[in-house]
Amino acid sequence: MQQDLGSFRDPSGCVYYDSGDVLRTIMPCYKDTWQSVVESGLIADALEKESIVPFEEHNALPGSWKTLKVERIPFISYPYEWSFSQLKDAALLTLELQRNALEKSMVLKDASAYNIQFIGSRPVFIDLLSFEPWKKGDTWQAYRQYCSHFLAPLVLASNLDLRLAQLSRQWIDGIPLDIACSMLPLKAKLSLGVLMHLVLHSALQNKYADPREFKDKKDQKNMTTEKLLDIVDSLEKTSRKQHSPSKETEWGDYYNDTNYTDAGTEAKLAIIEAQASRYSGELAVDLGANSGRFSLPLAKHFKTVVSADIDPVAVDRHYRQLREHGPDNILPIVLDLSSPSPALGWASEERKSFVERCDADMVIALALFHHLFFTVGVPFAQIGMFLASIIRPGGVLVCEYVPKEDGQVQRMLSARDDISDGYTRQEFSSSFQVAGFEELEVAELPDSIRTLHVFRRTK
Amino acid sequence: MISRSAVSLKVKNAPSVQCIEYIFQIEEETVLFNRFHCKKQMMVAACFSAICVALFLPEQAHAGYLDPGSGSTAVQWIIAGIAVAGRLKRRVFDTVSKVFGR
Repeated sequence: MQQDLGSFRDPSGCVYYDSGDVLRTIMPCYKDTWQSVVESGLIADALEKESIVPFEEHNALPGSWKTLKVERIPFISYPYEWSFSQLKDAALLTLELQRNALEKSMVLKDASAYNIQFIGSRPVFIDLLSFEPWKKGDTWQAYRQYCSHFLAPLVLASNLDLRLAQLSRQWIDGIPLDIACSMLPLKAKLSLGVLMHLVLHSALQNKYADPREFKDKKDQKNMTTEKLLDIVDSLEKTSRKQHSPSKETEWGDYYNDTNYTDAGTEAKLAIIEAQASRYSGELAVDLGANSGRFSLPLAKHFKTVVSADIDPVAVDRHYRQLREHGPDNILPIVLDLSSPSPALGWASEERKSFVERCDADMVIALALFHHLFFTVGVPFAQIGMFLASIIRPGGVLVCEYVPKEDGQVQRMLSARDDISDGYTRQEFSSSFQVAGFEELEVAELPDSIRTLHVFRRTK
Repeated sequence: MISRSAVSLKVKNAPSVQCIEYIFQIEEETVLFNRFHCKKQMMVAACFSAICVALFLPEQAHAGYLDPGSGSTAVQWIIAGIAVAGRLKRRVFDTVSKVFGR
């Protein structure tokens, strides 16, 4: 049994992993609160709406009053890996739960974005111990957390640049409101919601953070649930008003800017489908997935598919497509392979790195390596070692080799020095073998000089 | 948008059933129009007061670890206050429209 290293802040309980099971303890200090929350019907409602993670009772672990066995999240992702619409959906789910809680005289005691996870493309709330009875007259203690975890990155991304949502990677406890406000243009600040929840909020925080200015405001106990619901409404309106800017990026229109013929694309899809069917399993990862065209055949044969791409526009488009048309077992994430999410937080253990979280049965990497090689400057040996670190022993890698003579590579080389020493098919194959892969198959793609390679991780 | 005087004129000239129904419809539109204006005025007033408050607050950031959360509490009070004012206005208009409208 192993304790989740990110689960230590809340004295009400902890998360443990026991041979594939996820167990959440409830400590005696939270007993009465849990009973009140359950009796209010809040948990039953949320389970019915599938807005919280399902659970069942389990034998109590030593020291705990009760232990719950919680459904395992197939792949843990973090807010700095979500696209704009994912963050917005997570924000709206948090507010929906707060509203439902208030209607039952309960309240969310924290509004951390890390309390939301995605099962495929569906957001769910995972922190079952986040509810407590609302104390008459109290304001919402998690209001600041909502503003810095959700509203600030949404407003920044919507008004400035989608990539700013990834500032949450630097400030895992939420983007400081003063920093968010200092970056916002005046036009954004003049929106009533932004003005109140961010600008005024930040100014008042500064004022009252000075202990000399502190005047025991907490003694005022006149807040009502109606007023709290008004605050939730206002936050919801402000969050809903934020829209993903319709900006085209380098990768946003990738599939219309390639040199594949229809026959080449069909052949590639058929090979991926055949390999996925042969090596089906729990987790497949599509690296450089763009808007997820090649993730679709994987979704038929794997329980979960993680579609990772560096471009927030492409990932956002993919997520919205999945929400509308499915399938519901694909999780799109924003991931820069030249600097994948590191371990963060307390003792660098609170939030795990992408490599620690990824133990894939299959990884596909199509038309990716030439970008890593020429743009980022990563040799095949390093690419092979990285891939070996995210594929379980026995897992399979399907990847594409794009020769130097290919039009796309020529285009990339036209504006930079030719650093193609070591960029050969032989070097590619041998580097991957050194990294612990054996080559199983090579397939030529029609109307193309590109090849698809299938490797298996042996060690 | 037809003004109230125009409505009165219409009543004087053609006091038929259809006309009265028409008047009610216009009355309703006028109330909605007024509500919209009130909401807009309220928003402008809220923005103005928020800007004033922000201007008179200290600009330098104090140590975040000392923040007892009073700032967040104060903002919630302001937002709740605005919402209450909005609700009160709506109630007044509803009552007025009930008394003088249908």
